[in-house]
Amino acid sequence: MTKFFTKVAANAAVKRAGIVTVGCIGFGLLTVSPAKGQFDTAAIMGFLTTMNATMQSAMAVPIQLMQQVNSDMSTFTKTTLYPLQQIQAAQGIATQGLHQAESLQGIMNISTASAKLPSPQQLEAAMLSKDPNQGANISALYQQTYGALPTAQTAPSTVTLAVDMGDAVAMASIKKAIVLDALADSEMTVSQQLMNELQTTAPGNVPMISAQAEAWILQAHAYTQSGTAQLLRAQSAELGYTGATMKLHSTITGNAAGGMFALPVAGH
Amino acid sequence: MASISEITKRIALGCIPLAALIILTPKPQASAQFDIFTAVLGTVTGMGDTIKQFNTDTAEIQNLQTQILYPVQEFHNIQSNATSVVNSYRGWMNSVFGLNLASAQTTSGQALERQMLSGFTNTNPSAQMGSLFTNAYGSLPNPSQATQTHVQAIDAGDASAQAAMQMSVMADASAASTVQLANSLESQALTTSPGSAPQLEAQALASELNSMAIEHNLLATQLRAEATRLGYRGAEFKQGATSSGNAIQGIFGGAK
Repeated sequence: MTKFFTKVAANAAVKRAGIVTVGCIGFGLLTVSPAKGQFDTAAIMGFLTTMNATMQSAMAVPIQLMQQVNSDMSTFTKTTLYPLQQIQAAQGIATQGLHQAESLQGIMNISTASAKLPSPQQLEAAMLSKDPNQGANISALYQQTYGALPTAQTAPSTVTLAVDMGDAVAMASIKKAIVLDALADSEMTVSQQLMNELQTTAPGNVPMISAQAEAWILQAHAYTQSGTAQLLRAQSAELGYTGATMKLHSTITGNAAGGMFALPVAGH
Repeated sequence: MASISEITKRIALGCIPLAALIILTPKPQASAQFDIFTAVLGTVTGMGDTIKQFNTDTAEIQNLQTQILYPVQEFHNIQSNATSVVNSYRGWMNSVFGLNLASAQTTSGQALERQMLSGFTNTNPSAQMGSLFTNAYGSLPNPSQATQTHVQAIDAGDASAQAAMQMSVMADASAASTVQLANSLESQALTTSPGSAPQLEAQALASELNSMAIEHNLLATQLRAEATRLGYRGAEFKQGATSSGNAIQGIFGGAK
């Protein structure tokens, strides 16, 4: 058997046939593109037509609709919600507000001092100074103007106590007035700073400034309450003086009626 | 029986069609390419569906904005109502606010009153206040008429009173300016857009802070006036104590 195949392989005709076969296969593999058979023009055109129709219906129409919706939204946003003209007009109002605030601060800074004598002048200067550090000098300046407390030899203790309370509340009121003036200066400065920012701030960022202003206003309300509390103390000290006057008169005369009629004298 | 050579030729001839058959056999890629066409169409259709959903969502957002959040009709109604408020109240309020308060009858009293109610006209309200105040309330007593403590107390009291009067002039000026700014803000609000309204609100808040600062100045003036009033009372007690030795005289008139 082996000998038979050895003879066949050695045969020249068989060799030639083998060479021809291999050549044909090689030629065929090299020259014929199997894919080429797929690109049938009609099939491709049919596919493209289908795809075009699909893209028209499935993509182009919805995209056009979306474009219209977006365009409407853009117009609504630009012409109704945020028209540039209104943004600029609001910024212009901020400029007007800033100018008015600066003008008002100038007015409020005008000196109102008018005392003529040295001691009242010094006390007045401290009271109107807007300098919280002046609080330490108020006690001495106040006594310099209104006198010191009566001694035990010159007045009964009830009188001394009433005067001490009255003076203490008066001095505390002066110190609180200085503090309020100083705080007011800071508030005016911040208020103008906010208005200055509002001249150029975009509408979207404006709420941040509003939040800051709200916080300052809340703080300002607290200062108002504190000042009002001091005012109440001052008014209560007035009532205390009136009551002390009546009590002293009743001690002397046996009834308070004279004390009541004496009030106008004490209230001069 | 055929020779080996003949057999070889036959085999060779048989291989030729076999080779042709191998060459012409359709390749498996053919069906794969038609599959990709289908896949492309599927992708396009899928994209279309996504776009439709996106379009639906966008339309809903638009509807939310124009119908729920910022309905234009309501926007016009608000502007119309605001215009109505301005027309109903602004003129009346300005006229009430500007009512003449003057009531003094004597010449000196009228002069001081005019100064106090003058408003601020770019001149120092203190300029004439001193003389007008002295005309109305008299000048300081001289040393032969009163003690030093008394004179000082009166001087401080007069100064506090004048400061309060001047501050009242400034406060009137501030109030007029604030009303003017408030009217400007309100007028702007009549035509502003929902997007710009927060700008006006912020401006109003900043102005409110400024206004509160002025209120604090006024409160400070009020406190100084109260302190001065207490100073007067205390000075009377002290003077009485000094002159009578027990303060009772001062309380009941010794400080005259």
